[in-house]
Amino acid sequence: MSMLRKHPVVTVFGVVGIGFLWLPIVVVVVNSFNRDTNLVRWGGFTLTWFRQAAADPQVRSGVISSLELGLATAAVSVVVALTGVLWWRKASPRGRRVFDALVYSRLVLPEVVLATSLFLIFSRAGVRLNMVTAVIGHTVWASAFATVILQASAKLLSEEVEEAAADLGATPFGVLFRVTLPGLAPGMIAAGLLAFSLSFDDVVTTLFLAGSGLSTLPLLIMGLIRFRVTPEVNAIGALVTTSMIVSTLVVVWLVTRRARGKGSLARGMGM
Amino acid sequence: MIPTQDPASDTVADRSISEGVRVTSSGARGRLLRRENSRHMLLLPTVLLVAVFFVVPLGLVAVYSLGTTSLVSFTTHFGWTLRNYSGLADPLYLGSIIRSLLLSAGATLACAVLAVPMAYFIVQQRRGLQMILLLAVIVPFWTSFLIRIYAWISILQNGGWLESILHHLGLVHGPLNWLYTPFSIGLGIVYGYLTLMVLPVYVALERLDPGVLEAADDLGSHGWNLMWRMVVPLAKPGIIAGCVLVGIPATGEFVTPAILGGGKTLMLGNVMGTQFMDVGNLAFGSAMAMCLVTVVLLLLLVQVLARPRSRP
Repeated sequence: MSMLRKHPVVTVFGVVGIGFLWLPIVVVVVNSFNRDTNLVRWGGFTLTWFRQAAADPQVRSGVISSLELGLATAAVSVVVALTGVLWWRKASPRGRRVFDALVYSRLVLPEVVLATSLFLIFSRAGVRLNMVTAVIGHTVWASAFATVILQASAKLLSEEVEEAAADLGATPFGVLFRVTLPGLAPGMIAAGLLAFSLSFDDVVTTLFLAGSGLSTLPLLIMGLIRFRVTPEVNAIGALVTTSMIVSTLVVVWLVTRRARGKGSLARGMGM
Repeated sequence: MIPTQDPASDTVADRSISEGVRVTSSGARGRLLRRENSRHMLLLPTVLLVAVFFVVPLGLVAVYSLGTTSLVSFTTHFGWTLRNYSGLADPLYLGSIIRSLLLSAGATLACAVLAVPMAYFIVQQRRGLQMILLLAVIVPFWTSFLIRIYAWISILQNGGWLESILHHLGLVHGPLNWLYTPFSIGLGIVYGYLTLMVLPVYVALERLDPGVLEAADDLGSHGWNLMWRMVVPLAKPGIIAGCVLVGIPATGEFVTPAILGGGKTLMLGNVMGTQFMDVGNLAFGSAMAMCLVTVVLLLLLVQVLARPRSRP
Protein backbone atom coordinates (compact mmCIF):
# COMPACT_ATOMS: atom_id res chain seq x y z
CA MET A 1 0.00 0.00 0.00
CA SER A 2 2.94 2.29 0.61
CA MET A 3 3.54 2.37 -3.15
CA LEU A 4 0.25 4.21 -3.50
CA ARG A 5 0.32 7.92 -4.18
CA LYS A 6 -0.69 9.70 -1.02
CA HIS A 7 -3.33 12.29 -1.65
CA PRO A 8 -2.89 15.45 0.47
CA VAL A 9 -6.63 15.63 1.25
CA VAL A 10 -6.50 12.12 2.76
CA THR A 11 -3.50 13.14 4.85
CA VAL A 12 -5.32 16.25 6.07
CA PHE A 13 -8.36 14.16 7.07
CA GLY A 14 -6.14 11.65 8.87
CA VAL A 15 -4.14 14.20 10.82
CA VAL A 16 -7.10 16.48 11.62
CA GLY A 17 -9.28 13.49 12.55
CA ILE A 18 -6.77 12.11 15.03
CA GLY A 19 -6.13 15.63 16.37
CA PHE A 20 -9.91 16.00 16.82
CA LEU A 21 -9.94 12.83 18.97
CA TRP A 22 -7.19 14.18 21.22
CA LEU A 23 -8.16 17.87 21.37
CA PRO A 24 -10.61 17.74 24.32
CA ILE A 25 -8.25 15.55 26.35
CA VAL A 26 -5.41 18.03 25.81
CA VAL A 27 -7.73 20.92 26.70
CA VAL A 28 -8.71 19.32 30.02
CA VAL A 29 -5.13 18.50 30.98
CA VAL A 30 -3.82 21.97 30.03
CA ASN A 31 -6.68 23.72 31.82
CA SER A 32 -6.09 21.71 34.99
CA PHE A 33 -2.85 23.73 35.36
CA ASN A 34 -4.42 27.01 34.25
CA ARG A 35 -4.49 29.77 36.87
CA ASP A 36 -7.24 31.69 35.01
CA THR A 37 -10.51 30.94 36.89
CA ASN A 38 -12.72 31.46 33.86
CA LEU A 39 -10.52 29.09 31.83
CA VAL A 40 -10.87 31.29 28.79
CA ARG A 41 -7.19 32.11 28.33
CA TRP A 42 -3.89 30.97 29.81
CA GLY A 43 -3.34 32.67 33.16
CA GLY A 44 -0.13 30.97 34.24
CA PHE A 45 0.78 27.62 35.78
CA THR A 46 -0.75 26.48 39.06
CA LEU A 47 -1.38 23.34 41.09
CA THR A 48 -4.16 24.98 43.11
CA TRP A 49 -6.98 23.04 41.45
CA PHE A 50 -5.35 19.70 42.23
CA ARG A 51 -4.91 20.74 45.89
CA GLN A 52 -8.48 21.99 46.01
CA ALA A 53 -9.83 18.75 44.54
CA ALA A 54 -7.75 16.60 46.87
CA ALA A 55 -8.97 18.52 49.93
CA ASP A 56 -12.66 18.33 48.95
CA PRO A 57 -14.39 15.73 51.19
CA GLN A 58 -17.09 15.13 48.55
CA VAL A 59 -14.44 14.32 45.95
CA ARG A 60 -12.68 12.00 48.39
CA SER A 61 -15.81 10.01 49.21
CA GLY A 62 -16.75 9.98 45.51
CA VAL A 63 -13.37 8.52 44.59
CA ILE A 64 -13.67 5.87 47.31
CA SER A 65 -17.20 4.88 46.20
CA SER A 66 -16.09 4.69 42.56
CA LEU A 67 -13.04 2.60 43.47
CA GLU A 68 -15.18 0.15 45.47
CA LEU A 69 -17.77 -0.07 42.71
CA GLY A 70 -15.10 -0.51 40.02
CA LEU A 71 -13.14 -3.16 41.93
CA ALA A 72 -16.25 -5.20 42.80
CA THR A 73 -17.48 -4.98 39.20
CA ALA A 74 -14.07 -5.99 37.83
CA ALA A 75 -13.80 -8.97 40.21
CA VAL A 76 -17.25 -10.36 39.41
CA SER A 77 -16.86 -9.60 35.69
CA VAL A 78 -13.57 -11.50 35.45
CA VAL A 79 -15.12 -14.56 37.15
CA VAL A 80 -18.11 -14.51 34.77
CA ALA A 81 -15.88 -13.92 31.74
CA LEU A 82 -13.31 -16.56 32.70
CA THR A 83 -15.82 -19.36 33.34
CA GLY A 84 -17.67 -18.42 30.16
CA VAL A 85 -14.53 -18.36 28.01
CA LEU A 86 -13.30 -21.70 29.43
CA TRP A 87 -16.61 -23.20 28.31
CA TRP A 88 -16.53 -21.39 24.97
CA ARG A 89 -13.05 -22.68 24.09
CA LYS A 90 -14.21 -26.29 23.98
CA ALA A 91 -17.71 -25.64 22.70
CA SER A 92 -19.15 -26.83 19.39
CA PRO A 93 -19.55 -24.22 16.62
CA ARG A 94 -23.25 -24.01 17.48
CA GLY A 95 -22.49 -23.59 21.18
CA ARG A 96 -20.05 -20.82 20.30
CA ARG A 97 -22.69 -18.98 18.30
CA VAL A 98 -25.15 -19.15 21.20
CA PHE A 99 -22.44 -17.94 23.59
CA ASP A 100 -21.55 -15.02 21.32
CA ALA A 101 -25.24 -14.07 21.16
CA LEU A 102 -25.31 -14.00 24.99
CA VAL A 103 -22.29 -11.67 24.95
CA TYR A 104 -23.11 -9.33 22.07
CA SER A 105 -26.77 -8.83 23.04
CA ARG A 106 -25.50 -7.22 26.25
CA LEU A 107 -23.15 -4.96 24.28
CA VAL A 108 -25.67 -3.67 21.72
CA LEU A 109 -28.55 -2.84 24.06
CA PRO A 110 -28.45 0.90 24.91
CA GLU A 111 -27.23 1.27 28.46
CA VAL A 112 -30.17 3.45 29.46
CA VAL A 113 -32.60 0.62 28.56
CA LEU A 114 -30.56 -1.90 30.53
CA ALA A 115 -30.39 0.38 33.57
CA THR A 116 -34.09 1.24 33.57
CA SER A 117 -35.12 -2.38 33.09
CA LEU A 118 -33.08 -3.36 36.16
CA PHE A 119 -34.47 -0.34 38.02
CA LEU A 120 -37.94 -1.66 37.19
CA ILE A 121 -37.31 -5.21 38.38
CA PHE A 122 -35.57 -4.09 41.59
CA SER A 123 -38.37 -1.70 42.47
CA ARG A 124 -40.96 -4.37 41.63
CA ALA A 125 -39.17 -6.87 43.88
CA GLY A 126 -38.83 -4.30 46.65
CA VAL A 127 -35.01 -4.44 46.58
CA ARG A 128 -33.35 -1.35 48.08
CA LEU A 129 -30.99 0.33 45.65
CA ASN A 130 -27.40 0.38 46.97
CA MET A 131 -23.86 -0.63 46.07
CA VAL A 132 -24.91 -4.24 45.39
CA THR A 133 -27.58 -3.32 42.82
CA ALA A 134 -25.11 -0.93 41.16
CA VAL A 135 -22.48 -3.71 40.94
CA ILE A 136 -25.07 -6.04 39.39
CA GLY A 137 -26.01 -3.44 36.79
CA HIS A 138 -22.39 -2.68 35.93
CA THR A 139 -21.51 -6.38 35.74
CA VAL A 140 -24.19 -7.08 33.11
CA TRP A 141 -22.29 -5.05 30.49
CA ALA A 142 -18.79 -4.95 31.99
CA SER A 143 -18.58 -8.76 32.01
CA ALA A 144 -19.55 -8.77 28.32
CA PHE A 145 -16.60 -6.46 27.53
CA ALA A 146 -14.37 -8.61 29.76
CA THR A 147 -15.51 -11.73 27.88
CA VAL A 148 -14.65 -10.21 24.48
CA ILE A 149 -11.16 -9.30 25.71
CA LEU A 150 -10.63 -12.73 27.24
CA GLN A 151 -11.85 -14.47 24.06
CA ALA A 152 -9.23 -12.53 22.09
CA SER A 153 -6.59 -13.63 24.56
CA ALA A 154 -7.81 -17.27 24.53
CA LYS A 155 -7.55 -17.38 20.72
CA LEU A 156 -3.80 -16.84 21.09
CA LEU A 157 -3.40 -19.69 23.56
CA SER A 158 -2.25 -22.82 21.78
CA GLU A 159 -4.19 -25.97 22.65
CA GLU A 160 -1.16 -28.08 21.80
CA VAL A 161 0.59 -27.10 25.02
CA GLU A 162 -2.42 -28.23 27.04
CA GLU A 163 -2.60 -31.48 25.09
CA ALA A 164 1.10 -32.05 25.66
CA ALA A 165 0.68 -31.47 29.41
CA ALA A 166 -2.20 -33.95 29.46
CA ASP A 167 -0.16 -36.47 27.47
CA LEU A 168 2.64 -36.12 29.99
CA GLY A 169 0.24 -37.13 32.75
CA ALA A 170 -1.18 -33.87 34.12
CA THR A 171 -4.67 -34.17 35.58
CA PRO A 172 -7.42 -31.93 34.12
CA PHE A 173 -7.06 -29.63 37.15
CA GLY A 174 -3.29 -29.66 36.74
CA VAL A 175 -3.67 -28.58 33.12
CA LEU A 176 -6.14 -25.88 34.13
CA PHE A 177 -4.09 -24.37 36.95
CA ARG A 178 -0.60 -24.87 35.57
CA VAL A 179 -1.11 -24.30 31.84
CA THR A 180 -4.45 -22.72 30.88
CA LEU A 181 -4.89 -20.13 33.64
CA PRO A 182 -1.27 -18.88 33.53
CA GLY A 183 -1.70 -18.57 29.76
CA LEU A 184 -4.89 -16.56 30.21
CA ALA A 185 -3.50 -14.40 33.04
CA PRO A 186 -2.58 -11.39 30.87
CA GLY A 187 -6.02 -11.51 29.28
CA MET A 188 -7.63 -11.69 32.74
CA ILE A 189 -5.70 -8.63 33.90
CA ALA A 190 -6.65 -6.76 30.73
CA ALA A 191 -10.31 -7.78 31.08
CA GLY A 192 -10.33 -6.72 34.74
CA LEU A 193 -8.71 -3.37 33.97
CA LEU A 194 -11.22 -2.67 31.21
CA ALA A 195 -14.19 -3.64 33.41
CA PHE A 196 -12.79 -1.45 36.19
CA SER A 197 -12.26 1.57 33.91
CA LEU A 198 -15.73 1.33 32.37
CA SER A 199 -17.35 0.93 35.78
CA PHE A 200 -15.27 3.72 37.35
CA ASP A 201 -16.36 6.11 34.59
CA ASP A 202 -20.02 5.10 34.40
CA VAL A 203 -22.87 7.59 34.76
CA VAL A 204 -26.05 5.99 33.44
CA THR A 205 -26.21 2.64 35.26
CA THR A 206 -25.04 4.23 38.52
CA LEU A 207 -27.63 7.00 38.21
CA PHE A 208 -30.50 4.50 38.05
CA LEU A 209 -29.22 1.71 40.28
CA ALA A 210 -27.03 3.17 43.04
CA GLY A 211 -29.82 4.77 45.06
CA SER A 212 -29.51 8.12 46.79
CA GLY A 213 -26.98 6.94 49.35
CA LEU A 214 -24.14 6.34 46.91
CA SER A 215 -22.48 9.23 45.10
CA THR A 216 -19.71 8.12 42.80
CA LEU A 217 -17.14 10.43 41.22
CA PRO A 218 -18.91 10.60 37.81
CA LEU A 219 -22.24 11.47 39.47
CA LEU A 220 -20.46 14.17 41.48
CA ILE A 221 -18.88 15.55 38.30
CA MET A 222 -22.27 15.53 36.53
CA GLY A 223 -23.61 17.67 39.38
CA LEU A 224 -20.64 20.05 39.32
CA ILE A 225 -20.59 20.70 35.58
CA ARG A 226 -24.27 21.36 35.06
CA PHE A 227 -24.12 24.59 33.01
CA ARG A 228 -20.51 25.51 33.71
CA VAL A 229 -16.87 24.41 33.76
CA THR A 230 -15.03 24.46 37.04
CA PRO A 231 -11.25 24.35 37.47
CA GLU A 232 -11.60 21.64 40.11
CA VAL A 233 -13.32 19.27 37.66
CA ASN A 234 -10.47 19.85 35.20
CA ALA A 235 -7.99 18.67 37.83
CA ILE A 236 -10.08 15.54 38.57
CA GLY A 237 -10.57 15.00 34.85
CA ALA A 238 -6.85 15.30 34.12
CA LEU A 239 -6.04 12.67 36.75
CA VAL A 240 -8.82 10.30 35.63
CA THR A 241 -7.95 10.73 31.95
CA THR A 242 -4.22 10.17 32.28
CA SER A 243 -4.67 7.11 34.49
CA MET A 244 -7.19 5.68 32.00
CA ILE A 245 -4.78 6.31 29.12
CA VAL A 246 -2.12 4.37 31.00
CA SER A 247 -4.52 1.53 31.81
CA THR A 248 -5.70 1.36 28.17
CA LEU A 249 -2.11 1.12 26.97
CA VAL A 250 -1.54 -1.70 29.45
CA VAL A 251 -4.69 -3.49 28.20
CA VAL A 252 -3.61 -3.11 24.57
CA TRP A 253 -0.13 -4.35 25.37
CA LEU A 254 -1.43 -7.37 27.30
CA VAL A 255 -3.93 -8.34 24.59
CA THR A 256 -1.67 -7.91 21.58
CA ARG A 257 1.83 -8.66 22.81
CA ARG A 258 1.76 -12.19 21.46
CA ALA A 259 -0.32 -11.40 18.41
CA ARG A 260 1.52 -11.18 15.15
CA GLY A 261 0.42 -9.47 12.03
CA LYS A 262 -1.47 -6.38 11.05
CA GLY A 263 -4.99 -5.82 12.20
CA SER A 264 -4.57 -7.81 15.39
CA LEU A 265 -4.73 -4.58 17.36
CA ALA A 266 -8.11 -3.62 15.95
CA ARG A 267 -9.43 -7.16 16.26
CA GLY A 268 -7.96 -7.61 19.72
CA MET A 269 -9.92 -4.60 20.89
CA GLY A 270 -13.11 -6.40 19.96
CA MET A 271 -13.62 -5.12 16.45
CA MET B 1 -6.91 -47.29 19.32
CA ILE B 2 -10.46 -46.93 20.50
CA PRO B 3 -12.71 -46.26 17.54
CA THR B 4 -14.52 -43.03 17.99
CA GLN B 5 -16.07 -40.38 15.80
CA ASP B 6 -16.23 -37.62 18.35
CA PRO B 7 -13.11 -35.47 17.91
CA ALA B 8 -13.44 -34.19 21.49
CA SER B 9 -12.81 -37.69 22.86
CA ASP B 10 -9.44 -38.00 21.10
CA THR B 11 -7.51 -36.52 23.97
CA VAL B 12 -9.23 -38.80 26.50
CA ALA B 13 -8.46 -41.83 24.40
CA ASP B 14 -4.87 -40.74 23.83
CA ARG B 15 -4.27 -40.07 27.48
CA SER B 16 -5.77 -43.32 28.70
CA ILE B 17 -3.28 -45.06 26.43
CA SER B 18 -0.38 -42.96 27.61
CA GLU B 19 -1.36 -43.69 31.20
CA GLY B 20 -1.26 -47.37 30.28
CA VAL B 21 -4.84 -47.90 31.34
CA ARG B 22 -7.06 -50.02 29.18
CA VAL B 23 -10.54 -48.57 28.94
CA THR B 24 -13.43 -49.96 27.05
CA SER B 25 -15.20 -47.73 24.61
CA SER B 26 -18.27 -47.43 26.85
CA GLY B 27 -16.14 -46.59 29.90
CA ALA B 28 -14.39 -43.76 28.06
CA ARG B 29 -17.68 -42.51 26.81
CA GLY B 30 -19.23 -42.52 30.31
CA ARG B 31 -16.29 -40.64 31.77
CA LEU B 32 -16.44 -38.22 28.88
CA LEU B 33 -20.14 -37.62 29.50
CA ARG B 34 -19.53 -36.93 33.19
CA ARG B 35 -16.73 -34.57 32.31
CA GLU B 36 -18.97 -32.90 29.69
CA ASN B 37 -21.68 -32.34 32.30
CA SER B 38 -19.33 -30.78 34.83
CA ARG B 39 -17.81 -28.72 32.01
CA HIS B 40 -21.20 -27.19 31.28
CA MET B 41 -21.25 -25.85 34.85
CA LEU B 42 -18.74 -23.29 33.56
CA LEU B 43 -21.50 -21.68 31.55
CA LEU B 44 -23.66 -21.21 34.66
CA PRO B 45 -22.43 -17.73 35.74
CA THR B 46 -22.96 -16.28 32.27
CA VAL B 47 -26.37 -17.93 31.80
CA LEU B 48 -27.59 -16.90 35.28
CA LEU B 49 -26.43 -13.32 34.79
CA VAL B 50 -28.04 -13.02 31.37
CA ALA B 51 -31.28 -14.76 32.40
CA VAL B 52 -31.92 -13.03 35.73
CA PHE B 53 -30.48 -9.57 35.07
CA PHE B 54 -30.97 -9.17 31.33
CA VAL B 55 -33.74 -11.30 29.81
CA VAL B 56 -36.21 -11.17 32.73
CA PRO B 57 -35.92 -7.38 33.26
CA LEU B 58 -36.39 -6.77 29.53
CA GLY B 59 -39.42 -9.05 29.54
CA LEU B 60 -40.79 -7.06 32.47
CA VAL B 61 -40.29 -3.83 30.50
CA ALA B 62 -42.31 -5.35 27.63
CA VAL B 63 -45.11 -6.30 30.07
CA TYR B 64 -45.05 -2.91 31.79
CA SER B 65 -45.26 -1.09 28.46
CA LEU B 66 -48.71 -2.66 28.00
CA GLY B 67 -49.89 -1.74 31.51
CA THR B 68 -51.06 1.45 33.17
CA THR B 69 -49.27 3.31 35.95
CA SER B 70 -51.45 5.38 38.23
CA LEU B 71 -49.70 8.69 38.84
CA VAL B 72 -51.58 9.07 42.13
CA SER B 73 -50.66 5.84 43.87
CA PHE B 74 -47.67 4.88 41.62
CA THR B 75 -48.97 1.35 41.24
CA THR B 76 -49.03 -0.33 37.86
CA HIS B 77 -51.93 -2.39 36.57
CA PHE B 78 -51.37 -4.82 33.76
CA GLY B 79 -54.26 -4.22 31.45
CA TRP B 80 -52.83 -5.05 28.02
CA THR B 81 -53.46 -1.61 26.67
CA LEU B 82 -51.67 0.15 23.84
CA ARG B 83 -52.35 3.54 25.38
CA ASN B 84 -48.67 4.05 26.27
CA TYR B 85 -47.64 3.53 22.67
CA SER B 86 -50.27 5.90 21.32
CA GLY B 87 -49.11 8.38 23.98
CA LEU B 88 -45.71 8.41 22.23
CA ALA B 89 -47.42 10.20 19.33
CA ASP B 90 -47.91 13.26 21.55
CA PRO B 91 -45.88 16.07 19.89
CA LEU B 92 -43.78 16.47 23.05
CA TYR B 93 -42.55 12.86 22.94
CA LEU B 94 -42.69 12.37 19.19
CA GLY B 95 -40.40 15.41 18.96
CA SER B 96 -37.77 13.79 21.16
CA ILE B 97 -38.02 10.52 19.24
CA ILE B 98 -37.59 12.24 15.88
CA ARG B 99 -34.80 14.44 17.27
CA SER B 100 -32.99 11.34 18.58
CA LEU B 101 -33.29 9.57 15.24
CA LEU B 102 -32.20 12.61 13.21
CA LEU B 103 -29.30 13.41 15.53
CA SER B 104 -28.03 9.85 15.60
CA ALA B 105 -28.48 9.41 11.82
CA GLY B 106 -26.67 12.70 11.14
CA ALA B 107 -23.90 11.90 13.60
CA THR B 108 -23.46 8.41 12.13
CA LEU B 109 -23.22 9.85 8.61
CA ALA B 110 -20.68 12.44 9.76
CA CYS B 111 -18.66 9.67 11.43
CA ALA B 112 -18.60 7.71 8.15
CA VAL B 113 -17.52 10.78 6.15
CA LEU B 114 -14.66 11.39 8.58
CA ALA B 115 -13.72 7.77 9.18
CA VAL B 116 -13.25 6.55 5.58
CA PRO B 117 -10.41 8.98 4.73
CA MET B 118 -8.98 8.55 8.24
CA ALA B 119 -8.88 4.75 7.91
CA TYR B 120 -7.51 5.05 4.37
CA PHE B 121 -4.81 7.39 5.64
CA ILE B 122 -3.81 4.86 8.34
CA VAL B 123 -3.77 1.94 5.88
CA GLN B 124 -1.38 3.84 3.59
CA GLN B 125 1.33 4.13 6.25
CA ARG B 126 4.21 1.80 7.11
CA ARG B 127 3.23 -1.04 9.42
CA GLY B 128 4.86 0.35 12.55
CA LEU B 129 3.31 3.75 12.02
CA GLN B 130 -0.06 2.07 11.39
CA MET B 131 0.05 0.55 14.88
CA ILE B 132 0.87 3.91 16.46
CA LEU B 133 -1.91 5.68 14.56
CA LEU B 134 -4.39 2.95 15.51
CA LEU B 135 -3.41 3.41 19.15
CA ALA B 136 -3.94 7.15 18.70
CA VAL B 137 -7.49 6.36 17.57
CA ILE B 138 -8.24 3.70 20.22
CA VAL B 139 -6.76 5.27 23.37
CA PRO B 140 -9.00 8.38 23.48
CA PHE B 141 -12.04 6.14 23.03
CA TRP B 142 -11.25 4.09 26.14
CA THR B 143 -10.57 7.24 28.13
CA SER B 144 -13.27 8.67 30.41
CA PHE B 145 -16.30 9.33 28.19
CA LEU B 146 -17.69 11.77 30.74
CA ILE B 147 -14.54 13.91 30.83
CA ARG B 148 -14.11 13.84 27.05
CA ILE B 149 -17.65 15.13 26.53
CA TYR B 150 -17.34 17.62 29.37
CA ALA B 151 -14.22 19.11 27.75
CA TRP B 152 -16.31 20.34 24.83
CA ILE B 153 -18.05 22.83 27.15
CA SER B 154 -14.84 24.80 27.57
CA ILE B 155 -14.05 24.54 23.85
CA LEU B 156 -17.47 25.60 22.55
CA GLN B 157 -18.57 28.10 25.17
CA ASN B 158 -19.07 31.75 24.31
CA GLY B 159 -15.88 33.68 24.94
CA GLY B 160 -13.89 30.44 24.73
CA TRP B 161 -10.76 30.08 22.67
CA LEU B 162 -12.46 28.45 19.67
CA GLU B 163 -14.54 31.61 19.40
CA SER B 164 -11.47 33.83 19.60
CA ILE B 165 -9.67 31.76 16.93
CA LEU B 166 -12.66 32.02 14.61
CA HIS B 167 -12.87 35.75 15.32
CA HIS B 168 -9.21 36.21 14.42
CA LEU B 169 -9.76 34.31 11.19
CA GLY B 170 -12.74 36.53 10.51
CA LEU B 171 -15.03 33.54 10.03
CA VAL B 172 -17.46 34.43 12.79
CA HIS B 173 -18.60 37.71 14.28
CA GLY B 174 -20.20 38.03 17.68
CA PRO B 175 -20.78 35.18 20.12
CA LEU B 176 -20.65 31.60 18.82
CA ASN B 177 -23.83 30.33 20.54
CA TRP B 178 -22.88 26.77 19.62
CA LEU B 179 -23.03 25.26 23.09
CA TYR B 180 -26.29 23.77 24.41
CA THR B 181 -27.75 23.34 20.92
CA PRO B 182 -28.55 20.24 18.81
CA PHE B 183 -25.28 21.00 17.01
CA SER B 184 -23.20 20.62 20.17
CA ILE B 185 -24.99 17.35 20.99
CA GLY B 186 -24.35 16.04 17.47
CA LEU B 187 -20.72 17.09 17.65
CA GLY B 188 -20.37 15.34 21.02
CA ILE B 189 -21.85 12.13 19.58
CA VAL B 190 -19.58 12.22 16.52
CA TYR B 191 -16.62 12.81 18.78
CA GLY B 192 -17.66 10.14 21.27
CA TYR B 193 -18.12 7.32 18.76
CA LEU B 194 -15.84 8.17 15.81
CA THR B 195 -13.41 5.42 16.88
CA LEU B 196 -16.17 2.81 16.46
CA MET B 197 -16.40 3.79 12.79
CA VAL B 198 -12.68 4.10 12.06
CA LEU B 199 -11.79 0.61 13.36
CA PRO B 200 -14.16 -1.54 11.23
CA VAL B 201 -13.41 0.58 8.13
CA TYR B 202 -9.69 0.12 8.80
CA VAL B 203 -10.16 -3.64 9.17
CA ALA B 204 -12.07 -3.75 5.85
CA LEU B 205 -9.42 -1.73 4.00
CA GLU B 206 -6.49 -3.51 5.62
CA ARG B 207 -7.68 -6.91 4.36
CA LEU B 208 -7.62 -5.67 0.79
CA ASP B 209 -5.03 -6.62 -1.73
CA PRO B 210 -2.98 -3.43 -2.17
CA GLY B 211 -2.59 -4.44 -5.80
CA VAL B 212 -6.24 -3.62 -6.51
CA LEU B 213 -5.84 0.02 -5.56
CA GLU B 214 -2.42 0.23 -7.21
CA ALA B 215 -3.89 -1.15 -10.43
CA ALA B 216 -6.69 1.43 -10.29
CA ASP B 217 -4.08 4.12 -9.67
CA ASP B 218 -1.97 2.90 -12.60
CA LEU B 219 -5.00 2.85 -14.84
CA GLY B 220 -5.58 6.53 -14.17
CA SER B 221 -8.02 6.59 -11.26
CA HIS B 222 -6.74 9.18 -8.81
CA GLY B 223 -7.89 11.40 -6.00
CA TRP B 224 -11.60 11.88 -5.62
CA ASN B 225 -12.33 9.37 -8.39
CA LEU B 226 -10.23 6.65 -6.71
CA MET B 227 -11.80 7.44 -3.34
CA TRP B 228 -15.38 7.36 -4.56
CA ARG B 229 -15.12 4.55 -7.14
CA MET B 230 -12.68 2.23 -5.33
CA VAL B 231 -12.06 2.96 -1.64
CA VAL B 232 -15.65 3.59 -0.55
CA PRO B 233 -17.10 0.46 -2.24
CA LEU B 234 -14.27 -1.67 -0.88
CA ALA B 235 -14.74 -0.23 2.61
CA LYS B 236 -18.52 -0.82 2.47
CA PRO B 237 -18.68 -3.84 4.83
CA GLY B 238 -16.70 -1.85 7.40
CA ILE B 239 -18.88 1.23 6.93
CA ILE B 240 -22.05 -0.82 7.48
CA ALA B 241 -20.61 -2.45 10.62
CA GLY B 242 -19.50 1.00 11.81
CA CYS B 243 -22.95 2.50 11.20
CA VAL B 244 -24.49 -0.15 13.46
CA LEU B 245 -21.76 0.26 16.10
CA VAL B 246 -22.22 4.06 16.14
CA GLY B 247 -25.95 4.26 15.42
CA ILE B 248 -27.07 2.07 18.31
CA PRO B 249 -25.38 3.91 21.21
CA ALA B 250 -26.04 7.26 19.49
CA THR B 251 -29.80 6.67 19.40
CA GLY B 252 -29.88 5.73 23.08
CA GLU B 253 -27.40 8.43 24.09
CA PHE B 254 -27.91 9.84 27.58
CA VAL B 255 -24.72 11.49 28.84
CA THR B 256 -23.96 13.68 25.79
CA PRO B 257 -27.36 15.44 25.67
CA ALA B 258 -27.34 15.76 29.46
CA ILE B 259 -23.98 17.61 29.35
CA LEU B 260 -23.96 19.39 25.98
CA GLY B 261 -27.74 19.91 25.68
CA GLY B 262 -27.95 22.16 28.71
CA GLY B 263 -31.32 20.63 29.65
CA LYS B 264 -32.95 22.09 26.55
CA THR B 265 -32.53 19.64 23.70
CA LEU B 266 -33.19 16.23 25.13
CA MET B 267 -33.04 12.90 23.40
CA LEU B 268 -35.21 9.82 23.90
CA GLY B 269 -32.89 8.31 26.52
CA ASN B 270 -33.16 11.39 28.75
CA VAL B 271 -36.93 11.74 28.36
CA MET B 272 -37.28 8.06 29.19
CA GLY B 273 -35.02 8.35 32.23
CA THR B 274 -37.18 11.21 33.51
CA GLN B 275 -40.29 9.04 33.21
CA PHE B 276 -38.67 6.37 35.38
CA MET B 277 -36.89 8.52 37.95
CA ASP B 278 -38.85 11.76 38.33
CA VAL B 279 -42.36 11.32 36.91
CA GLY B 280 -42.68 7.72 38.07
CA ASN B 281 -44.74 6.67 35.05
CA LEU B 282 -43.10 3.27 34.73
CA ALA B 283 -45.53 2.00 32.09
CA PHE B 284 -44.99 4.96 29.78
CA GLY B 285 -41.23 4.86 30.33
CA SER B 286 -41.30 1.17 29.42
CA ALA B 287 -43.05 1.95 26.14
CA MET B 288 -40.23 4.39 25.34
CA ALA B 289 -37.68 1.70 26.20
CA MET B 290 -39.42 -0.71 23.81
CA CYS B 291 -39.25 2.00 21.18
CA LEU B 292 -35.44 2.17 21.62
CA VAL B 293 -35.17 -1.63 21.55
CA THR B 294 -37.10 -1.62 18.26
CA VAL B 295 -34.66 0.88 16.73
CA VAL B 296 -31.73 -1.32 17.81
CA LEU B 297 -33.34 -4.43 16.31
CA LEU B 298 -34.04 -2.59 13.05
CA LEU B 299 -30.41 -1.46 12.84
CA LEU B 300 -29.21 -5.02 13.45
CA LEU B 301 -31.62 -6.26 10.78
CA VAL B 302 -30.16 -3.75 8.32
CA GLN B 303 -26.70 -5.15 9.03
CA VAL B 304 -27.84 -8.75 8.53
CA LEU B 305 -29.59 -7.89 5.26
CA ALA B 306 -26.62 -5.86 3.99
CA ARG B 307 -24.14 -8.64 4.73
CA PRO B 308 -22.86 -10.30 1.57
CA ARG B 309 -24.41 -13.73 1.25
CA SER B 310 -21.89 -16.46 2.00
CA ARG B 311 -21.82 -19.38 -0.37
CA PRO B 312 -22.88 -22.71 1.17
